Amino acid sequence: MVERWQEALKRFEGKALLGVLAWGLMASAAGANPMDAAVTPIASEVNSVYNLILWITGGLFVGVWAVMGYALWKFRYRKDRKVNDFHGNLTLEVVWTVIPVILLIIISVPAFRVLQFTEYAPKDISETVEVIGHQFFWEYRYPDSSITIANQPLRLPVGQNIRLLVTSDDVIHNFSVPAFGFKQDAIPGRVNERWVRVDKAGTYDGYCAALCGALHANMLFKVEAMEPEAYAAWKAENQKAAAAPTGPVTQEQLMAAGEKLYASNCASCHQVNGQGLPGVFPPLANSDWFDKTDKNAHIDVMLNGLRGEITVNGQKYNGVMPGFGHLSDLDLAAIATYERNAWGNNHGVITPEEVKALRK
Amino acid sequence: MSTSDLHSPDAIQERNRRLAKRVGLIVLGMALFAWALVPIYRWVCVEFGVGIVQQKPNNKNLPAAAGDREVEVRFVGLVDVLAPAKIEPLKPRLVVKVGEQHEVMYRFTNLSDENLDFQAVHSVAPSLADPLFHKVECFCFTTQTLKPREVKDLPVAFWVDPKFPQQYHAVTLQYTLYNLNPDPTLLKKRQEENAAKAGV
Amino acid sequence: MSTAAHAQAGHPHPLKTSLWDWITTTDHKKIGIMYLILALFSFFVGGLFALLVRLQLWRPDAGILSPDVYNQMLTMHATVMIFLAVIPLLTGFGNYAVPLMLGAKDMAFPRLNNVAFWINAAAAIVLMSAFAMGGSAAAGWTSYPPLSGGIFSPGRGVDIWILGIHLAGISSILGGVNFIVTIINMRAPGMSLHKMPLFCWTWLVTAWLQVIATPVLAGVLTMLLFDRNLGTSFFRPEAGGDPVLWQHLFWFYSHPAVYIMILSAFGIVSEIIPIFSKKHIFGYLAIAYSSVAIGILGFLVWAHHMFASGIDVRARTIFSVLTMLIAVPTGIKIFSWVATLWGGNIRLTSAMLFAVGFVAFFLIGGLDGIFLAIIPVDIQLTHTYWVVAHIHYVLFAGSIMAIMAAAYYWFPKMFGRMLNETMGKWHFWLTIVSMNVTFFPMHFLGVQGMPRRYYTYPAEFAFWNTTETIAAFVMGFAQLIFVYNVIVSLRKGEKAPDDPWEGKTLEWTVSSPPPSHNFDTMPVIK
Repeated sequence: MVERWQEALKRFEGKALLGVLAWGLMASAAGANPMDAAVTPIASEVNSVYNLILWITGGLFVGVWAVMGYALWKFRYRKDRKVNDFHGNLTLEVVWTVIPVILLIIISVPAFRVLQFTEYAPKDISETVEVIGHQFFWEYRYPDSSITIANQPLRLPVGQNIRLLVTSDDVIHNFSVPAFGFKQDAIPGRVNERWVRVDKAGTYDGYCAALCGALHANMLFKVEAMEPEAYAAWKAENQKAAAAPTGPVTQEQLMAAGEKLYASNCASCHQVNGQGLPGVFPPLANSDWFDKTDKNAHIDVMLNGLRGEITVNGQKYNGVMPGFGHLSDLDLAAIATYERNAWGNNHGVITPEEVKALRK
Repeated sequence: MSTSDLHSPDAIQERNRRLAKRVGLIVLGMALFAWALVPIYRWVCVEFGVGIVQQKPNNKNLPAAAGDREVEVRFVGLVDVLAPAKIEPLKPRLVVKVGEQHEVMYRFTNLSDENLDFQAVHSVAPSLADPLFHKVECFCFTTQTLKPREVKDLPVAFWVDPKFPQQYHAVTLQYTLYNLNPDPTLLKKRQEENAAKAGV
Repeated sequence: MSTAAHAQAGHPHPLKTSLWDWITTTDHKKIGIMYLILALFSFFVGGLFALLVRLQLWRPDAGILSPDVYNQMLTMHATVMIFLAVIPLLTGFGNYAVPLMLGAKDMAFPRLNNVAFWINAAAAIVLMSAFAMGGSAAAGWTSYPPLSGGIFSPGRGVDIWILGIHLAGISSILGGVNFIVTIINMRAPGMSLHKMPLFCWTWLVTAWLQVIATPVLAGVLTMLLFDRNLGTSFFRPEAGGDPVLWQHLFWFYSHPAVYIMILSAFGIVSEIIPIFSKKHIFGYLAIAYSSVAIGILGFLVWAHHMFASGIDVRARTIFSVLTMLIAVPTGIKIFSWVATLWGGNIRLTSAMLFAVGFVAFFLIGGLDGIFLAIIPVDIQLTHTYWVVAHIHYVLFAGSIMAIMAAAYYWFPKMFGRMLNETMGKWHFWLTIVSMNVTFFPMHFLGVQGMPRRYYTYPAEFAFWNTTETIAAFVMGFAQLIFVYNVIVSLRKGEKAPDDPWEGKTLEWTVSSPPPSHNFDTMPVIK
């Protein structure tokens, strides 16, 4: 049994070593050089330095393995071998101390030049974007255009220098876009600045690259680099959307919000179809209550509730409705407007200001 | 002393104890060094401007005349996740001459129905510009309080030192607003609200 | 006295004593063996955590571990491997072999030695107890605040983790003092520092690193504990603290810590390669002093872990230059080991295979580290799987392989039995193949941008992840061959002579296993 394992071992050993080498070569060929998606000048520079280091370290690796492999073969155990106990050689030791230093200098020169390039932003920056990391999504603010977006692709103009101001409102995140050649820690209480110029339009993958909690892997994002005209158009569109909330609220907006809020706050009693429950909960659909009362009465019921006997559509009701004053003016206005206009009703709009006016 | 005395078990133990005591002192020294690193770190950051908050008014005197060099100053404000507030600079940027004093206002809004005590923590990018960005007056020097639902504008008066390095053309001043009485149990709720607003 | 002579003289087997004797022993050899047993067990526990991580990563959205449990697993995998496996494994071999190699009868402080071991055992219990108390720390072994602070890591996990590491640190400091005093004061007459075995040289430097760096870790852990529980503000910005301060203080210890984990591995390899080449080590002085150089430089490079955090560019430049410099003394060693092979008569026993494997594959970890020393390239590769590749090449292909080599080398001395060579070789080759298939592709994932500590990933990273998972399981099972070999050999292994390898250091002049007092007469070195 032991002999079988020994035999098998002999067959396995050599194959294993060759297999590892061959596999390593193939895998390197397959996996290497994917840093070719360099779409910024920074990324191209970084790639060049990376390639330089790859050649040098690759050469060192092959060199050491070659000498070691040769030695292991040439000086393998022979009963009658005379050993050459060569264990010191000043020249050799000096050479293999000096050559690594020289190689490191060769790498350092371009490396530190690239560092300068990445550190000092050019003077003509055309856009500044604040990048804010949250658990677990990214928010972007364009302060010069009053645009704030979140959980959407970061839009950037192609061919222009952009300043990114990276920070966080909770824990340390990291804003990483491999195609751009950088990543930057987003540290709460601190702002870190990076500049970038994207030379090719397209959509690029981004990752959060600092462990930030359970859903760290779910903070993937995209960066969309757009031609300047498309970028300007996108900004214009988003500026309108940003402006809207400060203007008056429209009936459409109130209805849309009201429908959702009604479903979660009111439908349990008054039903989704507004029919209520005969004798128990009064109907709102086609209800004569709206004809008999005015807007203020409606608002009063929403804020403070209602008790005591009422008659709706000829049916008596004597229940207790709780008040919903804990909801905001906007929410109550939305629900009230929805109730007055859904299911074929047509009783006009109630605004947040009207709700506010009746709060005590 | 004969060789055997030097190598007697007692002599050896004595030497060992002495050496161990010296090594022990080094251990103690390194432990103290760790704690000393806290103020050392602060000092290094302030002296060499390598990036920590220096929330004191600057005693340096404004130069007699402004320089020619122009620098863009950007203003950023954000709130910590546990602060029910809003902070926004009334101007996102200002182009100033070095050595010239300016003032910008930040607008603070308390979104809650209680008093909010807060501290604004500043950060300057590039970090080595921190000691060269002189704050004459700043809401960040002290803690501040906002009444329920209050909206308040507070100033920052500053000037940029002419020694601001030539390789940089802009400096960013960011304030993060921290709630001084945060309720960690509200974290999840706040994060859900933020996420909902973002459409996550 | 030789093994045979001892047996003839009717001396009882030195290892076959009562359990109480083992628990209270002050014999460095027994303490060393206890360290090895506990640490080997911890190695498998840490390995189990790693396999759970790899299982979750076998395909995107595998859904095997919840994200929070995944983060606990990756945190505890690293914590256990560093503090409960690698460091104690090296300490075990150091404890066992250093006094013998120095010609001493025990460590300078035998009772302290026992205490240090049991504190290490306590550390293991405390760290693992977190799983029964609501979950372990889940902020990575690097535990950066604010994530590791009271708000974002509520619960006891991080506090228990801090306590456990405090205990491991105390054990490390006590051990370090013991080694320093032993090596400086307890060498046999005639053994000057320049005649001392290289394993003892590397242990001297390692012990100094433990003594100097670990107190800083204790300090920073206590600061986090205070921030979490006493409302201090070392790392909390709202009260004038700085999360980046944690990173500086943590790495001030943790960078020397990686040299703690590799230097005595260098020492092991420096002992084994010459013996099985039948030569003297090439460049003894260069290897000795380059170890000292690495120890000193190791204290000056901590911020290379922080290149993406936004610290000042001038500081980063200095750290980058110093980091690159470490390549020089490390290269000197690698070239010296290769030159030792040259002209020799090489026996590829299991011990030698692992030692040569160390040189061949630790090299990869050393070279891929150069990429990380260069700031612009580091920015691209940091926080990605490239770093995971680097770490595992230096720690697995490096430290662990050296530890395996030491096991095959010293097992006969420790237990008086030979380990089975055929099983040893199977262990070696399966490990080499599976280890490379597990860790080499991580370089590719890193270059493609896959970040670390991700419990799931986009589909384009799936091929290598699946490959790595399969290989990791093979690697895990290959280590069981070693355990089986140990169990079988302890019972029926071939009896070991005093000196099975024709060794040159003092442990091979006494019986296998040695008598409890090591040397009948104090050896004198000429």
